[in-house]
Order: sequence, then C-alpha cells, then structure tokens
Amino acid sequence: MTKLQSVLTEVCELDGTPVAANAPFGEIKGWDSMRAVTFQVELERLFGVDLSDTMIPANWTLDELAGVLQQKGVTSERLS
Amino acid sequence: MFAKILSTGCYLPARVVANEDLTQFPRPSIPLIAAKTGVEARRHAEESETTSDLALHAAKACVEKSGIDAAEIDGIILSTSTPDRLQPPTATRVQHLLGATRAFALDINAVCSGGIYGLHLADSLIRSGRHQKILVIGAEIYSRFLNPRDFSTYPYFGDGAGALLLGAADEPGVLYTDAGADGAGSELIRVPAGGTRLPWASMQNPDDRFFKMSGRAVYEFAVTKGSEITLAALEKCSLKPAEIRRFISHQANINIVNELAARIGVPEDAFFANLQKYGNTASASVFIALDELIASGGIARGDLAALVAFGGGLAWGTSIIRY
Repeated sequence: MTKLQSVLTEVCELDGTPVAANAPFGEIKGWDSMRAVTFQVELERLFGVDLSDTMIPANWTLDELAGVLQQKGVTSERLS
Repeated sequence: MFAKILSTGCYLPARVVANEDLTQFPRPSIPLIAAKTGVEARRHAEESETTSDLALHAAKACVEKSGIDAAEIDGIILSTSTPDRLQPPTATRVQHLLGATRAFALDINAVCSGGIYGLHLADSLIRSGRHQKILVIGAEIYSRFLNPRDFSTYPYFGDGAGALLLGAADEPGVLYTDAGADGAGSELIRVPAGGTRLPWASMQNPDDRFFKMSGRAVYEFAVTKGSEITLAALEKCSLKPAEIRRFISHQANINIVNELAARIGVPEDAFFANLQKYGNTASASVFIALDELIASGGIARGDLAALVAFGGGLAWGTSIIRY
C-alpha cells in the first residue's frame, strides 16, 4: 500500500483493502466532504505542502493527487 | 411524590473559538462547517480548567437561583464522557467544592444522552421517596479529546456545563422520563484508547486517543430515534405536539434539529437551538439550552417542554416537563 492509500484508508476508516489508484474519491466508501478536508489536512502534515487554498474534488483519483503533490515538490519516493 | 425543577444553571468557558479561527483547515472548507451543521462558534476551556471546574460553575449558578443551601442537597449525579480522571468520580470534587456535604456523588456516562439519563435517575430517586433534592449536572470538555486535524469532528464540538436541581413536590413537574440504549451501535461513536480494551500502554496509533464518529450513521439514528421517542413521550402524557411550549433537542446539528421538527410535525422554531454559539456540548447541551431558554423567558413557570437527546452508545433519552 502506498503512503497515499494508507492515509486514505485511515481517514475513511476502510477495512484495509487498498483503494484503486484510478478510482474517483467520490466513489470510495466513507468519502464525503468532511473526510475530504481531513484527508487534505493529513497530506499537508505528512508531506509539508500547502494545500490551504484548494479543496480536493470528488472526481480526482489517487493518481491525479500524486501528480499534484509531485508538482509541489513531493518526490515519488516519499509517495510510495 | 413527584419531582419538579427547582432551578437551572449553566457555564460556558470564556474563550470563544469562531469558525474562522480554525486555521488548520483549508480556507475554502470553513463555510462548510456552518453549512453542514449550523455551528458558527464554540467555547474552549482554558488549559487550567477541568470538567469539574465547569460543572462547579454551573452547579453554583443553579443552586444560587434555587435559594437553598448546598448542604440540603441529597445527591449529585454528574454526567460526563470527558471526566477529570478515570477515577475518582468527577462529581466528588464538585460535591466538596460546592459544600454539598450531605450529598452522594457519582458520575454517569451515556455520552450525549447523559443529561437526560441523569434526569431520569434523579426523578426516579425522588419519586421513590428516598431523596428530596438531587442536583443533575452535564459537563464536558470535548476539546481535549478531539483530533485538531479531523474535520469531521473537531469543528462541531464545544465545552460547557449545565445543571438542574430537582426537588420533591406534591404536583408533577417532571411528567415523564425514559432512557434506552442499543449497544449494537457502540462502535459508531468512541474514543478507542484509554480504557481496558486499548490501554494507553498498548496504543500503536496516537490518534486512537481521540474521539471518532461515523457521522452519516449517527445522523440517521438521531433523526429516527429522536422523533420516535419524542412522539412516544407525548403519547404517554396524552399531549399533542402543539401543546408543548418549546422542544429542546440535544444540540448536535441544526439539520438534525430541523428534521426532528419536521418528523414531529411542528415548525422549526418550536425547537430551541443555541448550537450556533456553542457547538455540540454533548451531555451538557440540553441543560445549557434549557437554562438559556428559561433565562430569556422562552419558558415560564407552568409551561410544558419536551427534552430529547441521543448519541454514543448508542443511547437516547427523553423527558416531558412542566417547568
């Protein structure tokens, strides 16, 4: 399980099965606008990035999110 | 023998935390707090304040209004899910500092329903003829048990305390109380660590010290059970919803309060709400609301009020009172 999958599993209180990298967040069991914010705050803390002016959209996937984080300087090693 | 409410009191810590002060959350998410729950601000206790401190302030306000001496109180039932310590009971410190020297003192924990549970027990003890005056307190400091990074819990709770003094009477003031539970839902609201199931020493995930809640399932439970028990209470008392001066629900979420009004068949403003100012103060919320309502003249002597609470356990409680 990647770091992103692990955080998402924790925030959405999933049973441990990794979320598919291409699954839109809105289709994940337990995802809602509240948990989206918690997920975002956890990512900021974990990777030291500033996402404070945005909200993670429900149609994004883990792949797309990883791309955004990499643009903000998070290395692929840290995401794995 | 019956029980009636002699007086009420409440205490809210001085520190106001507005939604805009929650800077740990992304700026675009801040309007969601009020939109999803109605909460615009909450009070947070100072680091030096404890649950018993809040309870004591509320108790003093309540006893002072009654005009009785604290030494006349036979018992103190303190509802809290955020106690000073695992033991001794938080109520014992309140008993000592209040000067209620004759009173027994114990804590109860039915999470957000605890205040009504306390009322249910106190009413039963007075009706039994065994006790004359019982002080029921709901006091909580949730800010110490919330994960500051958890948007699904942190913004919605606040700290506070409410108290109610019940006394023996020839005429019924407390017309009806009831309490219930369904432990099948015990995982929906919880603080995972700190008890015998997961002692601190065995805790692997530091976040297990924080309060967790499955919001969607709890919402469904609250509106379904809350309306069911309120209607059942009215039926037991042969009352129609329109005869109730004000309904006071546990102050969890304005959408829950409004949905309860719809299901019971009364206008939204028949339900009192102050969660905008204080957030969800768990077992203190109904007593704080009742005290505010009485202080503002929203309920006068002789008026009927319906109280309803629901929450972790899962547990619920209801009462019909003639103030």
